Amino acid sequence: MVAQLIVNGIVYSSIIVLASIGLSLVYSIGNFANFAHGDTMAVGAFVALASAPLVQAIVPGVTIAGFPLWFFGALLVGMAAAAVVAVVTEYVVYRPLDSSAIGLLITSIGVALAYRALLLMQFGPGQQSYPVSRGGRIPWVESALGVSVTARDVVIVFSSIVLVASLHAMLQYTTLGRKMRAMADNAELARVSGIRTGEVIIAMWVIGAALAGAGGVFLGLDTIIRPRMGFELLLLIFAAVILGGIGSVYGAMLGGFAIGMAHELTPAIPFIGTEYNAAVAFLVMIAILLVRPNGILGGDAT
Amino acid sequence: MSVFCAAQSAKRASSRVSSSGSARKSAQRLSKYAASAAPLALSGAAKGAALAEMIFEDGHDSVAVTWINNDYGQSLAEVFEETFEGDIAYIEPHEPEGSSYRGEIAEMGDTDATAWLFITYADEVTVFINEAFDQGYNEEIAYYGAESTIADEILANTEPGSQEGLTGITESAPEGQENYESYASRFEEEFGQAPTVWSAYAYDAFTVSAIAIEAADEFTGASISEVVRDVTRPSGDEVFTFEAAKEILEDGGTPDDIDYQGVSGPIDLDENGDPPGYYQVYSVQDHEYVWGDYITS
Amino acid sequence: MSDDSSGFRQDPVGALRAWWTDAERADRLVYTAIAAVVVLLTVGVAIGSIGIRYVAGLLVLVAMYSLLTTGLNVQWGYAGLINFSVIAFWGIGAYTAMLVSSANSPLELGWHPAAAIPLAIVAGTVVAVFIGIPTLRLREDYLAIASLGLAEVVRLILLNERQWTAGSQGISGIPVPLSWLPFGTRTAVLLIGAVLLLAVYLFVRRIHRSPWGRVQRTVRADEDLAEALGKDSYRLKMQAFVIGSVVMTLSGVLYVFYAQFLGPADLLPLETFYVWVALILGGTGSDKGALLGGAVIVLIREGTRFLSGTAAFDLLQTGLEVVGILTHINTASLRLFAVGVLIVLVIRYRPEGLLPPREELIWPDAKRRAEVSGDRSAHGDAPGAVAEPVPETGSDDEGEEK
Repeated sequence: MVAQLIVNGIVYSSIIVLASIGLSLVYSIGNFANFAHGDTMAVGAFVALASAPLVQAIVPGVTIAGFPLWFFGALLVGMAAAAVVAVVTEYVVYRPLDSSAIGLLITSIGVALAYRALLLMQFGPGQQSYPVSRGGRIPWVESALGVSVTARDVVIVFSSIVLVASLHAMLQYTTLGRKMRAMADNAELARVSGIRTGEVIIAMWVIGAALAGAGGVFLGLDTIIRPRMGFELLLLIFAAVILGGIGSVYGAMLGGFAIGMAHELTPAIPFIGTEYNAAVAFLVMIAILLVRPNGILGGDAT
Repeated sequence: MSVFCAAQSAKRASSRVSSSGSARKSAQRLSKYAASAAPLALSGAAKGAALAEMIFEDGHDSVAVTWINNDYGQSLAEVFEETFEGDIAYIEPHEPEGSSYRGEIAEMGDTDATAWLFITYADEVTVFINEAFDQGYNEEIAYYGAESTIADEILANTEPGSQEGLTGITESAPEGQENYESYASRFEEEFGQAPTVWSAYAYDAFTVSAIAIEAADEFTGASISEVVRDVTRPSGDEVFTFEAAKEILEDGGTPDDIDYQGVSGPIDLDENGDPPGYYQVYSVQDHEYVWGDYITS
Repeated sequence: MSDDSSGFRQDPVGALRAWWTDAERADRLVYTAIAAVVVLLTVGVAIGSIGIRYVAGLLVLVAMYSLLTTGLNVQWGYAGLINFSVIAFWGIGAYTAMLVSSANSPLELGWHPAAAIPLAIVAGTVVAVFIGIPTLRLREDYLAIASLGLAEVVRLILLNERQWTAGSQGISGIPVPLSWLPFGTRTAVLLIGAVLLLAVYLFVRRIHRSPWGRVQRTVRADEDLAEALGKDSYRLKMQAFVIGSVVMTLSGVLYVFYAQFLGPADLLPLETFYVWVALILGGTGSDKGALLGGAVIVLIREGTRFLSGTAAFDLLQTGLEVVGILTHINTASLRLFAVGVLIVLVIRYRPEGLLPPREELIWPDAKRRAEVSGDRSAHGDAPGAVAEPVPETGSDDEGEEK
């Protein structure tokens, strides 16, 4: 059982990592806790779902290892939509606000509720799934390792690795990445040294929201799509970011992995029922905070 | 909605309970009493026992049960646990409206149960079936369900083959029985749609209450509950309507002389006030629902 | 009791008139609106178009929400603590009452329901301290997440530990104290609600207008400064956290007397955010504002329910279906949207709320002396500014007022 749980954990962690990175970016560059991040994931998931018919018509019906190509097109649409929504929200809601970090936090709650309400009003409260067949497990993995891995699992993990690697490359090797790291480190100094902070903030929203959107699409692929999917994950994402250390994107990756694994490995813990898996992840966070209040990689720059 | 419709038609029957000036008040009290009696009729007691019997007789000595964490799931699971003759390897609740049940599936798969019973609703069982399919359990395990795990949307949202052979039981009205047919056609006339088995239950709950009130010595809870079982048990003449029962009583009959046959089945309340269940077996063949025998517990 | 009550007793009309002229113009608007609503309701009930039972039920809900908002105000308004587990403490109070007094409780204790109040206070204190210890030393957004997690853990425990809490089945029926009065149970509940609310309001007003309240304000504004001045900010935050949580548990006790049924599903995370909206809308840091916020929330809930029953709403639905967007609009989603937009709008355009704290921290005695000397600068201002030192009468009792 444990081996299968580990596999489940790897898949789930990929989703959490994507979401945590986005949240960590907003925390370190935008300087507030964005409670609308979970619902941004939901936006990505739903737009991808809604765009499926259109994308299916355009993209050739090719499959990669049994997985349809059009899905990746829908994924990109979902990511783009999440980014657009985030940027619009930044201009309409956050930028005109002359408020403290706490004021922004509370405002982001209002934004979260508004996103969720719009999704509810447009799509209804029920659960839906992507029109991708489930396929079942990959036989040779089953016989080789004794665990069940489906094509979906592979797509999720593989795509997440690609996205995270791209982000890393961007942060380390591009000008924009340098600017973002500078702003995360010390916003005043960055501004003084000529970095257009406004631009960087837009980039932060675009990248953070796009990653969240991707996380949402994968969450919907892995489980189901419904309007409250984002809020349900919010606690875990925050736990991951805090665990990894606010202000560190790499910390968020580590934290995301840890929280995702803890969540899926709960059945292996004796005396604690599966129904407490959210509590376990949360308790892991509290435990680490007691020992290292700044998180694993906290205090460092991006 | 169907319960209200049944309540309406039963209320009309019950307003003939007494021709005195307190007719309306009695009818009101009756509605309140029957409204609490209807859930009794819908209790899972008989169903849980029927499921236990069915699964055991299919040759499964070891079963894993996952039940939805609310009173529906809890009560059905409790009865199942009491009546299943084999070994229950796992019986745990799962959260309603969950997005993933991998943990539960992992735990169930870790036992040596050869059958899994899903006491849950359509949305949840869809997730279970899909995730179990991802791990290949559909080939090794016999799935069982109850009345809420049969729905077209479940078929639509799962892969063909992922729940092949899933077997369950669901309430069924005794189609063909005369009083059910006349009830059904009256219902359709009145409300423009066929009655569900739930409205049949509610109708019977009201009618039985009305007969019991007539038969009781006084209009108190205690004396009504004394006679309510007698009027349904197989001793006495079979009656199919409230009017017929009333006639027998007016002729000087006792509650024992009446055996009310309801529109939802023979009723026959046992010492807990529960009716025996009347069910039909269904199973999934080639990703379609196929109906089987009737069973009763 | 504060001194202005004696002024009121001696010359009620004069005191009222003074209060009216003292009030800021924006506040006067709010008071007039409140009066108008009260008048409308009274007329509606008198002519029979609004049921008195319905209004009585609404009033109990207002009391419940006002209690919750007042509790949150002590935590957020006074001390700057972000607590997202409001509903969990409500649940703790509600479950304590049900478990000890209900005939259907799995604990089968059958104690008198009046025991629920002190027990809820104890339970709330214990849990608040338990949560506060790891989190109050951390930064404020950590407390936000931790409290959110706590709320979930509480809900899970209530749902899954069936042998103690009856789990998803819930518990029904609790005897109501004071029901031996000739007015009936519903009136008893209303009376209990009114008494609880009044007692809590007077209590928080007292502790707010005290050195303790002033120190809290400093901690909220600048914790490092408070520490530099020698205040134990951790202890102060813990006190505010516990007091606020206890008030929230009392609101849960009131609820079960009213609703007569309780289940884990009642602990909706959304309710926590309703209370936050209530506080921000009413006026962060303002005791009166907290009461008003409670009333406004009930108004919004009833209002949206009422709205979605109207013909205008049906027209909207049909129109949207024609266009093909937002086709699943209904009461719940509309309400959710309204609350979200409301939060954004209030923070943007009126962050101080409808009834911002004006004179919360000024001793009326000091204000009178300042007026006598012709100096009106002793008016209070919104939280965020460090309190000015004001001469006090009587002994200099620093520190905790509990």
